[in-house]
Amino acid sequence: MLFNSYIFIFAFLPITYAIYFILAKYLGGEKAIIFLVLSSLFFYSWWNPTYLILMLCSIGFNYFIGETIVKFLKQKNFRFAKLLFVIGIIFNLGLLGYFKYANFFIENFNTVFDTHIKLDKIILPLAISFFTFQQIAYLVDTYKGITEEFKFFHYALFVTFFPQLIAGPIVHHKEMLPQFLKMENMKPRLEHILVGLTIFSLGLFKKVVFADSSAQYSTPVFDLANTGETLSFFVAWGGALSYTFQLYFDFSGYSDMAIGIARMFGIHLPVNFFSPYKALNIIEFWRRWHITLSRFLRDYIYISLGGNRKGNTRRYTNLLTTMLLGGLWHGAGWTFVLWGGLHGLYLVINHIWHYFKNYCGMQFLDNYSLWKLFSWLITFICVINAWVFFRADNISSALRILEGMYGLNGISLPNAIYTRLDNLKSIFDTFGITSYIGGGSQFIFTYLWVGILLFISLMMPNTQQIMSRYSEINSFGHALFNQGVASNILTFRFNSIWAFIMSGILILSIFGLARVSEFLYFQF
Amino acid sequence: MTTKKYLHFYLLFILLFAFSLAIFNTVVDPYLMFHTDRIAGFNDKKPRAVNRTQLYKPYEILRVSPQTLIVGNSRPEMGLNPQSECWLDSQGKIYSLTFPGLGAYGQIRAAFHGLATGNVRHIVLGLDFIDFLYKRKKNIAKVTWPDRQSDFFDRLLVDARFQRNPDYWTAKATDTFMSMFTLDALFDSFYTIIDQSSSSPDRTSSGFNPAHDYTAIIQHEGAWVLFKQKMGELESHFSRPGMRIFDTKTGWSLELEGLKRLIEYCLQNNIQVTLFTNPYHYSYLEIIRQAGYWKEFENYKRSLKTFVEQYEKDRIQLWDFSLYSHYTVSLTPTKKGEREPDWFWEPAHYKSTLGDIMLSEIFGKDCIYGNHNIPFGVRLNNTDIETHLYKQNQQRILLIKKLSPQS
Repeated sequence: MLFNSYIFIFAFLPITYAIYFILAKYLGGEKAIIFLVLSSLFFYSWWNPTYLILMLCSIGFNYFIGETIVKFLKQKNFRFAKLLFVIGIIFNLGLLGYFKYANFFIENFNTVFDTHIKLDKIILPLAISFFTFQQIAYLVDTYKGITEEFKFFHYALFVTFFPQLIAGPIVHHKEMLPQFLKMENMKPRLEHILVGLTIFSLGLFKKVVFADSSAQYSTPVFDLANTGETLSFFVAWGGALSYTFQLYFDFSGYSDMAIGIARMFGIHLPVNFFSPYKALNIIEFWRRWHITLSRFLRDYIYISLGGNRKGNTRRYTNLLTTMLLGGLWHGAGWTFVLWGGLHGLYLVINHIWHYFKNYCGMQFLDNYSLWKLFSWLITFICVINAWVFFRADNISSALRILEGMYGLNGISLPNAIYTRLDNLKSIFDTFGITSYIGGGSQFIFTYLWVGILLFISLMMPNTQQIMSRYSEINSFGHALFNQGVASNILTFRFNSIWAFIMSGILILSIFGLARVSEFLYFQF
Repeated sequence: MTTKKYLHFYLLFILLFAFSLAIFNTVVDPYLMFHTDRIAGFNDKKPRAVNRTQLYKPYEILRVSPQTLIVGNSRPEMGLNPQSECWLDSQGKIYSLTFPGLGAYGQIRAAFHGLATGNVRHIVLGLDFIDFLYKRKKNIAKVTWPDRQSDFFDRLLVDARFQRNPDYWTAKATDTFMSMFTLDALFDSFYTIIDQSSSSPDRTSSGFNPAHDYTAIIQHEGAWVLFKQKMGELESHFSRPGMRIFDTKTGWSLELEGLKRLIEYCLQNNIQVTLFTNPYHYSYLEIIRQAGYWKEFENYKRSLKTFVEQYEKDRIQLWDFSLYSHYTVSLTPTKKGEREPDWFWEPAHYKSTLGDIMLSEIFGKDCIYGNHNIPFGVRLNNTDIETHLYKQNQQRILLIKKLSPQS
């Protein structure tokens, strides 16, 4: 079930909410938790009930392993605890490996070794990457003695809690369970409902208005690249920029919706996005983008590989490895590996530059606005370049778009615009700018839309800043969040002006849930 | 403010927003769903309805309740004006139930819908070669008439068997809701208000496309742009190999099966049928020829002729306008400043001035002003098809020769 659907907003969410608190009041918290688990499983199986069994097996097995590890640790039987921990990790990676990477692996094996091993197409179970990572983190934390769980439904709720089940934020057991068990969270509070609804509305608005509208400008460009068309400079940039904003508003919108829904239940989920396109370098970008995944990659891969403890060369190798694996986590394809690899490379270069800057005493540069602008621009361009690989169906499509972006296919404008700019003809001739037929209004709308979203991404406060009076944005100790709190006027509070603004945002978002289909067709 | 008071304000504003936006969408009516007044400079032009003809026309025709129905794709939508003086007075109210990009199957289903409105006495159906020519399964034994499902077919009063469509009211309720309570409708309402220039794309209340947008392109960029773009698309389309007009070895197709069902219904209900082939600019015909589909094109005309022969001449008329003629053979504009042909917007779409000439020939009405006395169409009912096709090939050589600078 999707958050941005009528069925979720008008049926599933209010019904689940009401029954949960009624059960909590009359039958106690445990029954309410069991109901919430069952509701979450229903939410999950709405898409495809077949994979419910897989998720239940995964939850059951991990719960058993975790519980047994705790028992062995308490008996000081560390060898068996370690053995079980290794079995648990292998099981999770094996599950992910089979369902997500088997086809990819066989395909590449056949290409490299010219073999013809056949494997039927395995359909990727929804959210497997998220619930597997979350459970790996749980096993690691359990093995380290950081957390423990002895109630199956508590554990199941930690994994399946429907706001974060499908696309995160990726949460830790230790930061979730205590919240569920708080007595005060077993009663509905109007403040939680209103704050949650506000955060949800902002997320829904980002998703249905900003992201979905961007798709109509990015998708045709990537589709064209797939068909082998060459793309000119502005077309390629238009597509790449539109996708850059589509992805951000889509994913951060989804995260906001998850955070908002959880908040209605009195649960604080960790912040997942914090204005990533405001980043002045790639290190900062990763502190702002998909924060809970970055945290996971840092804590469970980068640090496990040795982090920065074994010299710079090893540190950079670890960074690169972590980001390559991070890329592969996003999808079983070489484009994702390249995307991860590019970010790994960016991070290495960024760390080397920081080292060099400090070594040469050039930190003063950071005080200059022009330098900041340059830093932002170079970071943003690097991010956009990498998104091209992330979005493209294959490497050749991605390269085709990049060719266009770097002017290898020339610069041209729609003829409708070109002919109206007769005064600039001499400049066009000097720079070899030509024209192409059609696409005038698409061109104007693309760049107009990109301009609006760029302004919003850079100049407007993010959801956490807007909600800073009511959100515990520092609850998970992220230093970055101390940086910017929105100006007073842009900070949400309970008054009639905000009631007006938020009701408008909610209605526009709900209006955006369905689309009136168009029949775009070129009659031959 | 307390949270409780905030909640009251919040709920009040939600209701106010929802209903005021819905009323706004209804008043502006960007998709012609509600038929609110069209006020000049405010919502008279409907630029956002042009890509949504499949949404609103099935409902609009019910309001018009026409006696004469134009059916076809974008060509008759742009070429035959229901308000033209060349229609006979006896034809009553005329509606253009035409849909850009809708294939022959969909057009016939649309015709069923039009007939189901109850008052139709005459149906004028524009046939198009491109709707008959596509990749088909090889020589199937028997053509069946399927009851295809889609959002568009849900909006029709009857199904493919001419039985009442049970999904009609659900579709209408959904479409009405969507035209009032969606962001698309809101955006398009604003767009409609902003885009009210003389060059704004539009549809008239009788379903006609006045091609204002084409006029604007010709004015600013030149007709060559439209020609170049369309010819590129046509060349790409006809470069596909293996397209055929028949499903069976015996020369039958889904399109002919549909036409048969339509005509039989019309004959049973005393409804007159006029079939005609849409005119193309000669550059279009040349692309068909160069792509190697000329034989299929001629077979298409033969099959239509054979098809109508089984019916009484007076009840079913078949006109051929897909011709090399004085009207269709003219210089193709290739650069800015070159005049557009008198009778065509671009190779695939004829102007309503040519449509008027076609109507005057079909109905025998003297309605054309100026010196346009050269005959255009050929009524195939009365013509030997082989002689007609032979003459066409001769005509082609003659007319194209006239175009060359030396002549």
